[in-house]
Amino acid sequence: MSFDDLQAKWQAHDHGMRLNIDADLLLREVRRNHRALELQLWQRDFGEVTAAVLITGVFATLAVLMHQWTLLLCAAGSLFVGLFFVVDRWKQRRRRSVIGSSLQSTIEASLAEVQHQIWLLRNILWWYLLPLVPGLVAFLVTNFWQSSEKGIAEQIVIAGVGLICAAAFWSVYRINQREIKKTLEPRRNELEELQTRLGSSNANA
Amino acid sequence: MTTDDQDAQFQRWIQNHLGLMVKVVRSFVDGAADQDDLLQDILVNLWSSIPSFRGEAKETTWIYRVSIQTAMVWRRGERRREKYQSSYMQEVTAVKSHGVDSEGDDDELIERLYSAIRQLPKVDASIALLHLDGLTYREISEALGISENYVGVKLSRIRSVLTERLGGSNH
Repeated sequence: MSFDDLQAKWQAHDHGMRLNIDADLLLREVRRNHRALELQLWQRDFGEVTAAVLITGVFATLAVLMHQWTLLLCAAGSLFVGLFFVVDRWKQRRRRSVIGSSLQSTIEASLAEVQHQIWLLRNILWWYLLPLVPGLVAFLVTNFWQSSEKGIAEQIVIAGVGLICAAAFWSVYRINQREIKKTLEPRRNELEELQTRLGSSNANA
Repeated sequence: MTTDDQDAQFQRWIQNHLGLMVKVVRSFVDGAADQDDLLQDILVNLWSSIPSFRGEAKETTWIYRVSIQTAMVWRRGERRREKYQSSYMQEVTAVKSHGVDSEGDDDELIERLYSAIRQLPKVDASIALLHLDGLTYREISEALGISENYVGVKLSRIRSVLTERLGGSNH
């Protein structure tokens, strides 16, 4: 069978064209999906900001109640992380491509988004973990120092808390680095290949 | 454009061109669940794209463009579906996956052709689909944003590959 025969059969075939579609129902479904997607994005942003505000509030309250002023540094660190989220999301949303623009720009926008996610996760130490470290370290060191009069048991507890915090931070860092390798880098490579193919197609013009 | 205009336009496109979107979906992904997800993303993007449609391109070119753009950057399981989602979309996909016509051997041939298209690189798959649908080089070039020369160069190879995979000769 020649390609022209294939093409003729393809064009003669019903690919779902005769589906009996209730356009009203489908429209309602699409609008609901659209709203659900917008809501999902909004909930994600709201959740992150709320978590940052709550943690900031908890640290600040504890600082006042316990007269542990080093906890204010933790509150400041949490606030910084929350603000970073907000500013980053806002900047990224402004860079979204317009639906229906060229394929090249859609791929560029997707690639930029993935590259930004890689950058975020690769630098998670600097914008997510380190801002919390000064406060935690100051809190633990101060308490460790003060507890030297009370006995070794309390010092062991404080050292244990410090180790748990360090392990948690290390885990967060490792999980995110693994995510880059497992998901984001293959995705970036795929988009770069698409971009190269499209780029070479235009270079051949 | 008012929301009512947008809705009316969308309904008209659905009535006239849903099959076109289904073809894009089947050319890019396999499996009913993934096809269902992609079809939903295409429909949402198409609805959102209507205010940007100025009538400079043909309607079908625009629909192909939005559908192919969505399919190109779509990733399995990237978007979490809502629990309240009705089975209507799944029903559309199920009907489409099993075919609605009774053309016997042609069904199998077309299914093999879809499978062969899915094995092509994504840009080539898009060119193949649009060519099979009878779009001109210019229309393919407009829909994909690539040069007409490139379309011509790629098509000669794509035609050979597809014909070979389906066990025919490229005349």
